[in-house]
Amino acid sequence: MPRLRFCRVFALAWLLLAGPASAVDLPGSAVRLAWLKVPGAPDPTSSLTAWAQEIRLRTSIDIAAQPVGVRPEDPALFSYPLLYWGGDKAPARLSDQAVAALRQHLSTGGMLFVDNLGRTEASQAFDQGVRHELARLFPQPLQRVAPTHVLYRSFYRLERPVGRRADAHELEGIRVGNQFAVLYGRNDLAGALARQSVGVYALAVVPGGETQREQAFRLAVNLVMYALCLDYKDDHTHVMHLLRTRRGAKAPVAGTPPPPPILPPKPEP
Amino acid sequence: MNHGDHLEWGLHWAWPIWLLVGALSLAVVVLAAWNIRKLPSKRRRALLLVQRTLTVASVLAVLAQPTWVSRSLRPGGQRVAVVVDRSASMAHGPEGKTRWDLALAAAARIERKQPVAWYTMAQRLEPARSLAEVKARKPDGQSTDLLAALADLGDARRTGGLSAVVLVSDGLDNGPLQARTAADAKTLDAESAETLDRLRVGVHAPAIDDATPVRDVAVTALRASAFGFTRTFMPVTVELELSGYDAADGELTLTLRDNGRVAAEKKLPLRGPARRAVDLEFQPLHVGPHLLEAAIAPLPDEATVVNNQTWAALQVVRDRTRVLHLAGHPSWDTRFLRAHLRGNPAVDLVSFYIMIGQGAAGYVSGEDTTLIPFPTREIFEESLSSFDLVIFQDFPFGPFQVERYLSELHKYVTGGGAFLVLGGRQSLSGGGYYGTALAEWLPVKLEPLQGADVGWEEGPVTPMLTPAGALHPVSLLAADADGNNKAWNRHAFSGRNTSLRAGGEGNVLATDTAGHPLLAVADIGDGRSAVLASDSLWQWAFPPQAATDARDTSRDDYHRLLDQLTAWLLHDPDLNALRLEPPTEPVPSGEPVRVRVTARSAGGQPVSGLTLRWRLAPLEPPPDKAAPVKPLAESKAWQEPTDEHGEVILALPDVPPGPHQVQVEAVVDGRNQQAGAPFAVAPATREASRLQPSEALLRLLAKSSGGQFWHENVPATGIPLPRQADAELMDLDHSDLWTRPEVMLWLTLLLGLEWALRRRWGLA
Repeated sequence: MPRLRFCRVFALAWLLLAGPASAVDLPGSAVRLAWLKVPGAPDPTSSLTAWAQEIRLRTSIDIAAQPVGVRPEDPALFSYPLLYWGGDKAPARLSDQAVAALRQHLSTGGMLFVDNLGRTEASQAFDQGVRHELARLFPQPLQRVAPTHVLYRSFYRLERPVGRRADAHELEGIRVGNQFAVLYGRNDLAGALARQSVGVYALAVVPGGETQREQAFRLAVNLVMYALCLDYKDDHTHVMHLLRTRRGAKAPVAGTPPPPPILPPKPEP
Repeated sequence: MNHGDHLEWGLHWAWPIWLLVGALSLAVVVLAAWNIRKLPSKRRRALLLVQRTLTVASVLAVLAQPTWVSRSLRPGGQRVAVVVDRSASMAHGPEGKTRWDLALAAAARIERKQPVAWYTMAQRLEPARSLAEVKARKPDGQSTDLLAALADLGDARRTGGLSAVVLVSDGLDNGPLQARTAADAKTLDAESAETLDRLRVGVHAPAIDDATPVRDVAVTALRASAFGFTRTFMPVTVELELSGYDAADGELTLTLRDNGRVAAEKKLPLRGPARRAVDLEFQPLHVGPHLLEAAIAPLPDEATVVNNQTWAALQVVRDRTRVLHLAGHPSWDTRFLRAHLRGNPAVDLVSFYIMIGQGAAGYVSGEDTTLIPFPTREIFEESLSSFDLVIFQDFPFGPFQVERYLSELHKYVTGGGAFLVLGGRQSLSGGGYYGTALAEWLPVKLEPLQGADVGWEEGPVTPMLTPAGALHPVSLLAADADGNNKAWNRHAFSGRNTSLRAGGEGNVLATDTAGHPLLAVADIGDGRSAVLASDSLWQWAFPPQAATDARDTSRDDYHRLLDQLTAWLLHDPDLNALRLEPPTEPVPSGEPVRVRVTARSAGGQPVSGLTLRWRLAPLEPPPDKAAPVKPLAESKAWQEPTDEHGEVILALPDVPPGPHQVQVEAVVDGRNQQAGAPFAVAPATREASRLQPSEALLRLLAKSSGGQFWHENVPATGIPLPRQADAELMDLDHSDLWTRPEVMLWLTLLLGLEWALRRRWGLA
């Protein structure tokens, strides 16, 4: 773990110190994080930039370094299937056009992560306001995301969702089809990711400190992986592998059946 | 009067009445004698007693209703029916002589001894006027039905008396007699026995050609399910019958072909049991009608090769489409493709995404993640052939030791697999595929990277259909040409792979405005391949215009293009406007081959009044190099158009035996559509299924009819005949004597004599 942490810190420092030249956006075919420019919503560029940097560092995803803000009514909304919407106070009411565009976006393959940025606890005003706006998007209410959901396995194995805070023990979401098109976290994920211009983290993470911040980064990675891979890790192949390699699994005993194969069986004649 | 004519009595009364009548008659005679006891002349007494006794006896005789039975006989002159088998198996024989020759010689030997009624037989009995007429016939009958011939002979006997039947045959019956005695050749069933009984004469048979073993291998059956599933191993049993090779060294080669392509092969030793069932298995590759052929390579000394193959029709369906999806990294293209594939319940999707970059390994601990090792060996060595479609989506081969398996991928595709390359920075030339085994057969030609070219160019790309693309079923997004062009023009890509050019076996369907290939397809052997040189097809499924126009349906183009691309890669017959249903069994030689053709438009509507052109072609595996669709050469117009259901049945006449495919073409939706379907016309091989002469049936017929089976030849003494064989009973004539006027005259005479004697002698 110390070696990993050193490598990560070194790499991040290099990315940051390299300045704008190395933070050049990858061209349009790359994944780009986008945040909803709705009235009253804070600018999460710092957090999303760090989020993208961690994605680039840890995964093979071709992700643009710079996030972009986009108004829901803007047709460019459909250039960014993954959207971020954070806030710590009551959000302004979305226009009907924005609601229609967002509904279309999320119904046809887009995904929205809603982040409650409350400082000491989840903002009730934001919570109530965003639930109201989401109810305008979809009739179905937010539902709990079970701890067994593939989101918690899409890249990292996660026990629970944390952010800068850890008081909410679960995510909530709205399903469209078989996938969650909306995910709602109340632990200020962006706060855990945010950095100052010199590279140090902007906010302290409570109560778990840096270990919790790492878990927050992992959740951020898993969210993007879930957006891009959907239920990939629910595939037979991966489930079998996870069963074989899960933590706490006993070492195979001589004479026990061999582990299941990586590939699913061929069709029988 | 003939020998055997006799008198029969009616005797219809019960015996007590006869006893009474007898007693009364005796009493009458005694009284008559008593009455004339006083006559002085002994001579007169005796004469009257005789007269009265005769009268009583005559009355008694009339009461007994005598009937004269006379036999009508037809002079036979010791005639023998000689029936010579002229089925095709008689054309074989030892050392230059055919069994037909031997049979004619045996028949001539009979003629020298006895009068003969001549017949030949195959399916039925065929009368002949003379041996010369028999000799003029050919041993070419296409089946042998001994029982039917004997039954015909039984019927024929009503007009001509016979005293014996000689059956000159090799005993290779393939009619009901063979079927009835297949299990037990020592007893005759009741129905067959009745046929023999109707002959009333013995059936004799000489052995023909039993000494020399015939060397032949016959494929007697090909047993397979009528339905199969694509890429699922299917068991097949081939039944063989070998004769004359019991002690031979060497081996024979059994080949199973699927639509003309060698699907399985097995070598078998010649030495061994005569009847064998050989199990094979194969993978049908494509959906639709298939024709299986089991064939034995001809052996040098085989008596005939016409029975060396047989066919079976097979309908192959796809239960699930097994797709292997390899992605170089998660992306929006990956996400939308996965959603598309997962949205089809008939797709069995196996995915492997490279989720961690080369440089990230140091920052990510394996035990904290759900990453699994990329199963290169399992995929490319063990499981590749089980997939219907393999997709490389911006997939680099380098980091995973895949390069050495790229030739396996070629084998997979040429063997009937489907391969789709979706572009991106790590794909095609940008992925270093130039110069690899893969680059040799892709639908586009890869070029080496030059200077700053990284194999990828970012920026908006407007796709344009090529002339080939405007007609190809893959790129058909609208039924009419204008609509299709508009559909393509409303979409764009945000980047494309460079260092590509059209060429090779590919068919470029879409390019950018500068003519660089974007979408290309190719037939590769039995399989197909396609390249889409961009990683932003997902934008078709997520169009900006959907934000402002709820009625926008342009995102359907994404699914339609992928569905059509997949269907084409998988040879899905539903993509074709013409669907053919060939016969489900080999068609007997000489019968017309009926093929149902259904024509449907791109919208699925039946096309009526459509004139089809057709031709027959040999059933051969497709060429390695794809040929562009051209009008069928030497095709003929079918006189009948499609009906209101879009259907028409082609009844193809005079199709020679063997495997064929019928090719049909028509213009549907302004495009030349072609379809083909395999079928087989079975040669007349019933006679060739077995060639070794069989004594068993001949022995059984002889034994059951009271005839003889001669091992050597017809006896020099001639055919043994029954004693009365010179005449034949035709009928029995019953003549009632007691009703005849002569009887009344006799009685009147007797009574008149009584009256005259009594008057003359002065008696009272």
